[in-house]
Amino acid sequence: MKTSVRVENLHKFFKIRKKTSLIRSFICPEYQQVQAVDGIGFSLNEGEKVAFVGPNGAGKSTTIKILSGILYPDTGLVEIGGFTPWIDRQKLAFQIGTVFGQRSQLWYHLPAKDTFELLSYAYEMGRNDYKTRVKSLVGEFDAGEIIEKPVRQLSLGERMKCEIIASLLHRPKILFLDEPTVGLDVVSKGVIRDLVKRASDEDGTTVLLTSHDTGDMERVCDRVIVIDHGHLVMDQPVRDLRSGYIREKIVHLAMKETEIDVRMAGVDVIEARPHVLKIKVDTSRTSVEFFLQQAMQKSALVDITVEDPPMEDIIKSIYANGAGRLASS
Amino acid sequence: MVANLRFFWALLGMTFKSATSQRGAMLVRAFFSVITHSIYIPVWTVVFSISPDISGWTMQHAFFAYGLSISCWGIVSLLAFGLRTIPEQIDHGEFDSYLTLPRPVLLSAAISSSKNTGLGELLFGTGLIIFCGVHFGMSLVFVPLFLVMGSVVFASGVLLFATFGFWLKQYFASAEEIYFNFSLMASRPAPVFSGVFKVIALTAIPVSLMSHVPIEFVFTHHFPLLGFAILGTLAYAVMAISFFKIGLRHYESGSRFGVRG
Repeated sequence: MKTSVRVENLHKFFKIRKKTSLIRSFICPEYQQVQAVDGIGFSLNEGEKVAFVGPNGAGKSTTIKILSGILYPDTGLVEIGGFTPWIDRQKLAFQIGTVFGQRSQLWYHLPAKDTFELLSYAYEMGRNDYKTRVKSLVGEFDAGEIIEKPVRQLSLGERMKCEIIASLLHRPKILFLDEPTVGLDVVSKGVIRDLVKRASDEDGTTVLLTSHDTGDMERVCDRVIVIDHGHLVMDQPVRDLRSGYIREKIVHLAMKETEIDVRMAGVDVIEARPHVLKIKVDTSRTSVEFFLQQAMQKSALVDITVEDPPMEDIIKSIYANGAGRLASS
Repeated sequence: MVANLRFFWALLGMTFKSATSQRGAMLVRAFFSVITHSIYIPVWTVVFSISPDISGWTMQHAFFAYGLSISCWGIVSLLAFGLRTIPEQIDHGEFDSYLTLPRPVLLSAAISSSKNTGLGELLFGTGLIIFCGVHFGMSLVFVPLFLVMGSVVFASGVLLFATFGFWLKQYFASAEEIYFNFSLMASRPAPVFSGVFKVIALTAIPVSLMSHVPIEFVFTHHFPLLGFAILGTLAYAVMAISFFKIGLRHYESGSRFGVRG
């Protein structure tokens, strides 16, 4: 598969003022360098959908801004469709679409359709091509009514739909999404995720998405890159995160007996109620299969549910010990 | 080039559409802008009734200079108000949108907003120039050229000082102060500027190129003066654009999400 984005040894510093007293800071300010991105490297294949996650201040947005030509890096190599973002910014802009959840490209007092029209000129789209494309996207996003209203009257979810239409208008090969679901309600999040995924699947668009919401990662992406303090901590398929990283399973048992004794190595009872047990199994010490065999010998089980811990816990755990774990793996 | 022109024409249309979407506010501000600038007419009339000639400058010089400078201020406010807000746009990280478009950043930032007082300033300024032509019999043949040159000088000056916003944060109010002084100096009689001030008025803050040199040309028809003004305008514009390009490399974007200040 063809490489769409290549990043090698990327570094970006920011100069910030040191904390001193108000007077000293005013008369003789001292500065320090903060490393926002510290040697990150990865590549994305065409059509891949990749989540770029990390705690606040990890360097996600800075990296995306370098990739989209907004910021200059201090050192490092970035190649996107054969272009270096900070050198070939205008050529690259035809290849990429960007959505920044915290910033709008729509005109506040005007309907979104006016912004779409302006963007069509920016991307040199033919009039017929533009009309067909807008019609198709508006239909797909069910946004016929909302694009007619002034943007100031739209809800956050409606605005985000319009932002995504604007970013897809010129059929970009790569889509950078920086926290596209921030501030949205559960329903709107689901809609936005489905739309991004569908748009990418249909057009083969490569997606790089930053988010603090693990739902975005699970619903949209095939692969996850975790960074922290500007370093790459983990890079692997989303499906392998559960099986490869987490050594715990949560087992719910419903039984005829009021209670049973399930004590064994690697097994912790999280919750015990009459006829119901919730158990955490450390799979590095005891397999779930072995545990269930033992439980069945002691009880006539009515129902068994085995689940992974929530993705949020997995990510928390990666943030907590990510770097060391990556090194050991 | 053609694609850029098409885009900027469409962008200008959007900017006016956005500015006029609040029609009431626009008309009120334009009206009060005319009133504000009208105050200068009695002021100059009183000054020149006391002393009809200030080192060679008469009331017609003063009216013409004021008309030119305020028209240029109006043109820049109407067509490229974004230049004046560059420091604010830098602070708020608003260049992100321009940088991800396949179009020149500077023009996108400049044309993306329009200030409705500009209409009042342009109307008042051109009205004053026409009054000079009718009442004092001054030749207005070169006025369109002077308006273009003056607007370029003013826009370049604004750009030059606005670009410091890439290094100086919360610089917006200071920059506005400088722009205001720029316009004020351009409308003051040339004899006010002598010695060091004359050098400044022809170099760092070349207000003389906006009003003093064109006015001298109107009265003398000395063409080398016009050539000097055109070359000076171009050089100043090139310098301002180059400085902006250097500044743009220092753009830090930023995250302004529900914060104050």
